[in-house]
Amino acid sequence: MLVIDPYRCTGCRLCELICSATKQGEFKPSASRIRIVSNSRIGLSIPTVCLQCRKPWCQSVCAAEAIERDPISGIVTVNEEKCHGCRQCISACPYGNMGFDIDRGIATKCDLCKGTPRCVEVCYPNAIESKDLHKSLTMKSRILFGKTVQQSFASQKGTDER
Amino acid sequence: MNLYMGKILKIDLTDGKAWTEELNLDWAKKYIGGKGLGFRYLFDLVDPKSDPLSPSNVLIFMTGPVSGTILPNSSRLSVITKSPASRTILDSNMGGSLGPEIKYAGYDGIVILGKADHPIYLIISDDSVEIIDARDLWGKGIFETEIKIRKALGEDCKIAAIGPAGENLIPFACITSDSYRHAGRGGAGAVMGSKNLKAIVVKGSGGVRVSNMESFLDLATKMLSEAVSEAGDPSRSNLWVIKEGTPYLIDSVHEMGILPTKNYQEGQFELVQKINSEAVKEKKKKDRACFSCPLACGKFTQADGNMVEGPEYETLSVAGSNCGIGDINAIIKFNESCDDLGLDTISTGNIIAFAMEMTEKGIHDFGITFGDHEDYLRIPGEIAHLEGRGKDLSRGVRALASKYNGKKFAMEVKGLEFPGYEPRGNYGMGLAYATSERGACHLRAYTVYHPNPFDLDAMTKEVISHQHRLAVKSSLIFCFFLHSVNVDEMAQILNIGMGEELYSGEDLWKVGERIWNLGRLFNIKSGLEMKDDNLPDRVFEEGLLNGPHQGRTLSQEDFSMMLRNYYRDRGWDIYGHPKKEKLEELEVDIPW
Repeated sequence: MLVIDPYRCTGCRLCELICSATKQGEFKPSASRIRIVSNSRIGLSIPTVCLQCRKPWCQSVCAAEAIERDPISGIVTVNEEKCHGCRQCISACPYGNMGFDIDRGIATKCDLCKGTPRCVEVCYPNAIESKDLHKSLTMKSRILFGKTVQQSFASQKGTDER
Repeated sequence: MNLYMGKILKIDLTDGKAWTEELNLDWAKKYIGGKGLGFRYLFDLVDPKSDPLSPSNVLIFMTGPVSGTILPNSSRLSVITKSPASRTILDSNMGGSLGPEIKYAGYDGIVILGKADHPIYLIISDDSVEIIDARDLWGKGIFETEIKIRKALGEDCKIAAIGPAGENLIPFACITSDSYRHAGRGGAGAVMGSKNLKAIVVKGSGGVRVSNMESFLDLATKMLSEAVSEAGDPSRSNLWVIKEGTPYLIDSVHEMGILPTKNYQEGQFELVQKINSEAVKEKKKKDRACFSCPLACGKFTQADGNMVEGPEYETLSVAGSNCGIGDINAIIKFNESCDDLGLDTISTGNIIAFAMEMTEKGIHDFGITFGDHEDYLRIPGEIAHLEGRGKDLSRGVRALASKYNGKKFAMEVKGLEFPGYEPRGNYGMGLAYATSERGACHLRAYTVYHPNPFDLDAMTKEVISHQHRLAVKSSLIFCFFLHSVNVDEMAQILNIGMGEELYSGEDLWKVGERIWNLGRLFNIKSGLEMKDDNLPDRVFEEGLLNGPHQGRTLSQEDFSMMLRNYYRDRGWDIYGHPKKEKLEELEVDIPW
């Protein structure tokens, strides 16, 4: 899966550009499977992309059974042949990570480029990294642990100064 | 169409009409986009003699063929108009993400004509153009304007807005996008204010096409990895941009002795360590990038409850050392305040420094002296709202100097205030300021790191060659900070993107010269003369007070020699008018 660290994201959106170029054949952020939500005033950008859920909401609402989950890799994909374009999956995804191709009338989503995500390739600040699930969990908890330790030190220092 | 969208959106605010026109392909071929194409459109629409703040001036937002693609640092948007500061042709470009959004909405450029009869803003969403009442936004700062618009229209819309400075027609008001990205110099914000246009909001759902995506991506990813590479030729390196951003320049320019200090009296600042890259790093929270930029030169800082993307070198120097301010917190606060009010920090800093010197010398009392942090922080608000002394200061250094008799040290050219490099320690920058089409500007030719900054011939040649290359770069448009791109590469990019052998590096060189001559023609037609290609007396007469170039001036003789040779090498006559043969050779399609 893609592990995201919003603290590192600079908001450059190169990921959206390479994604739309690869999947759609043009530079078209509105068609990108990964999206950057930014608030320039506070200097924050957060990449949002499919989490490849183990029990995908998009899959459970799909009457056409067009959403498939590979049992080994865990990658969730849209079978374009089967998709009716009803957009139920878009409403169902609690994270807003399903997209829709208006021209072709089908749902779109991140398929991790079949295992080598191109967005990772152009993410120079390393805000997006491709990890296998087990390792990424370990790493995520490490990052969180590190941040908590730092914060508690910082607050302690603050107390001392006061 | 490849790279281009093929359409120009025109909006006449006087009668509230909007329509699209086909992109003039002949002009696109000859002038590429951005600066060049914008100049050509401006020539077509504006009488060079017209009043910049009248409804007859137009405001052009022009993208370039590479905007919206994945090429590194390709997102910039050029704003072209007649400048209320210098009364010259003006091209001022901004980063952020508005340029690409305009292309995704389906346009290469947006042309704003006329004047609305009350404050309005525009919503451009693909084919639809709406004119919305903006009376409730008028008077609001840029940050609040963006928040209010985003609340109404969604987080993903892109906005160009003006603050109170633009509304009050201050000739150094900027147009701002993404909170901190400005078309900063030359007063485009005042032109927007004069049209009663508070903001332009753009939402685009389309895409930019290229001829062969696979080869284009190969080229782009190669350029991207080169741009961030630590290896290779150091003169093409962008590493300092990534690691430190422009604050890096402070120590280096200080060392060279050309850091503007106390209104350009000195070339070194005793408190330099309080405002250099290390000082900025202590306040830095994050790196921020414009659209499609792997370098992320924006250093987001926080101090005393203030936050800003910056301060950049220009703010740290012209509004820092040049005002005797050695306090990074004060500069961050100043920067945030100018960004919200919509003021160019370069001109604002320069004007404050001038007022400080006038006060210290007892010529006129503006009540502020070098290094007075607290009062310095009050001035941007006074200027933008035309309060008290701010009313005087808001007219710019040139007007201030003639009113209060301080011309000798009014550091401006053609009415545009000096940026952050002292020409007495680098003669090329003197020639660059004097010959830039929009007045004192460091982005038309940049000789700061040249090994022989006092070699008159080398400087003349260097300035001309930079002016051509940067004119091309500002037309595609690539950011100034993508050092590792030359005309041959730019030609290759256009050819691969368009799928035709359209240009060679040499052709683009000619395009650069063509654009430079076109700008010159506009300025001459607007009434500018040879005497306007000049520098303030301080540069000629007063030696620098400290540093490695202590006592050095750029003599009037040396300057005149450079200027004469510059005209000659350009194929202009002794008055600086392009000769007929030159214009024919360049195929400039303007009657002369």
